[in-house]
Amino acid sequence: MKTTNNVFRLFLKGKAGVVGLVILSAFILVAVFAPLISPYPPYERVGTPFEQPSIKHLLGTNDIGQDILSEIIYGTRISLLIGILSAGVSLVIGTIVGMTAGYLGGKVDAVLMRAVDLNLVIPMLPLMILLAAFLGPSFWNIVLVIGILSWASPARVIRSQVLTIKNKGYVEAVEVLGAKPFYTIVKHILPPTMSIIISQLILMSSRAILTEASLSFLGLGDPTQKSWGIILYYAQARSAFLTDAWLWWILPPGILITILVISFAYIGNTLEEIVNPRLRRNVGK
Amino acid sequence: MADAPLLTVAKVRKTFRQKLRWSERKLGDDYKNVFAVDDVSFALERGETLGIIGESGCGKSTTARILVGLVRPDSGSIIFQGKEILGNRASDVAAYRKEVQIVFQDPYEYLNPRMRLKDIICEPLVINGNIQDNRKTAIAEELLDHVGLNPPNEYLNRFTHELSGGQRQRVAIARALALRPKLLIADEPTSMLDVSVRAGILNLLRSLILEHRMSMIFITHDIATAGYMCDRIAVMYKGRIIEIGKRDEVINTPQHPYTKALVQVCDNLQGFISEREHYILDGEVDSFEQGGHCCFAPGCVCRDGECHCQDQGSQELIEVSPEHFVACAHCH
Repeated sequence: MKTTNNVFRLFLKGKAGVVGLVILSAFILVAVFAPLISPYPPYERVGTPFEQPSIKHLLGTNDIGQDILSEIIYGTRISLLIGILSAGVSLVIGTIVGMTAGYLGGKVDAVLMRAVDLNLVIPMLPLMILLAAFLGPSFWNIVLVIGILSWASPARVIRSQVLTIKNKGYVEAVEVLGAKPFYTIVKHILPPTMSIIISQLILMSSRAILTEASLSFLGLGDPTQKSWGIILYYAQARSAFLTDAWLWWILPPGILITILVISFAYIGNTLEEIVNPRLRRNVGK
Repeated sequence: MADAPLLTVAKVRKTFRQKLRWSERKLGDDYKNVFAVDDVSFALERGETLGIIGESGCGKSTTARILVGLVRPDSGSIIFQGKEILGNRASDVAAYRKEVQIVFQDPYEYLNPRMRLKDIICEPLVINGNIQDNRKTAIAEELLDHVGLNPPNEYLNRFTHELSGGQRQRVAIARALALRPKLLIADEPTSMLDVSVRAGILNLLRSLILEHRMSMIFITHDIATAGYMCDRIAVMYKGRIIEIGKRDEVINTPQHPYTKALVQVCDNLQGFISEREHYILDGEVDSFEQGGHCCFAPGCVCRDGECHCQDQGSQELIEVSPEHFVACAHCH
């Protein structure tokens, strides 16, 4: 469709977005082809504990003799997956809240928006730590905790878009036909909001990846799944900071988290600049 | 029942509240009332076309929006086929919505740019739940053909940005016809269109009305168009109907000073411009606080003390000849 083409063309003009896309694609390739790339199976003892980097083990081994490079390669999968899934959860909630508030307006809007404000002012990380500790460490609990506590800012952005579209004539014209609110929202308000939802999804993914790493680093992650955060947790627990091991055990996952988050943020910001008229500076004009 | 009017609108009133600027506020009074529709009553027979004319801001579009349920009036009653619509019976309202369709002024705004014509036209049927997917094409083709978009199969999968203004308005009409309504409301259907395509749309509407034996409320600011389209004409000013009657009577023997001015503009524009002060006094319409006095008095050339009197009843419609009503103290 014409508008999709437009977004794509504008996206390619923003250099940051393209850089982000290239980096993200690289990460996705690594995640998908992890079994082919990684030199060893990550969950098996393939060397002696605490080996230093060598040709055999490029980033050395951990406390029980697993290859760190392989752990990191497989960790890409878990980190990406948790990030995108929890962003998905937060976007589902955020979209429902934003659509309802924007479309119904009035008191419903006021109540929901106060809930959003509350959600935005509460410091999220402590609350997440609390909730994660309460629910117990598992893959899905982490996804839920992040998702349930970070829907507020997408809800707000989506609401403002709904407010714009709600006043378009064609929405009014459907109301004359006696359409139910659900029909109007799904058929006429959701499609033009989709681009904003996607850009929010990407932005939220970058935050979620960071949050997952924080929670896992604090020992609240799923210990049976090796994400980058979990690798860092074990590195810290086995005193990697106190020896030379931080160079190959802590630095690589840390840098990868940073790069991945930046790539998501680049893509998300560029997309948002294109699709959110309020932020559009002079892209493509 | 057969003789009862299709639609009876009685004493419908809608006031909008406008927030005042700080400088204009008085103590405890942050709003002023805008009388968009003030005590409007009329009846519409089956198969009849009623024109509502008036300048911008006089409440004609608000009247249309009240009739299709987009605006809820403050008071009054709307009786359609013997049933009160403004009551709370949801089933009656749903039935009413199927019978009354509207063609909006701006075809650029009122058709969803992301939908194909086929889906736009069939949407009324989809919403009201009586269409199967495989029949869409046939129904859309028939309706497109009906409104003069030929050959219909070339239009089915287009988007609205591929159409001209006149074509879009034809699509809007096709969509309004999909439910086979008894009453069509046309809210200035040609005012956004090029002059060259207006006549086509007007003729289309007229032939469709005859063919389907629909009634129509035709809203316009152009008395010539109203004269061409309508059986009866109502003239609105500041939210009130100030004159209503058969087309020929209103146009040939206008009674209200405002109607006279309107007719004169059309008749003899040059004369109207050079002798403007003989017809209407300058001043913009301002539908704010109104008393019982004549709403046209500030711009009326034949006003006198009586026109400004409260409780004079000069805003009441008075029958000057059969079925011809005027709200003017000087026309008794």
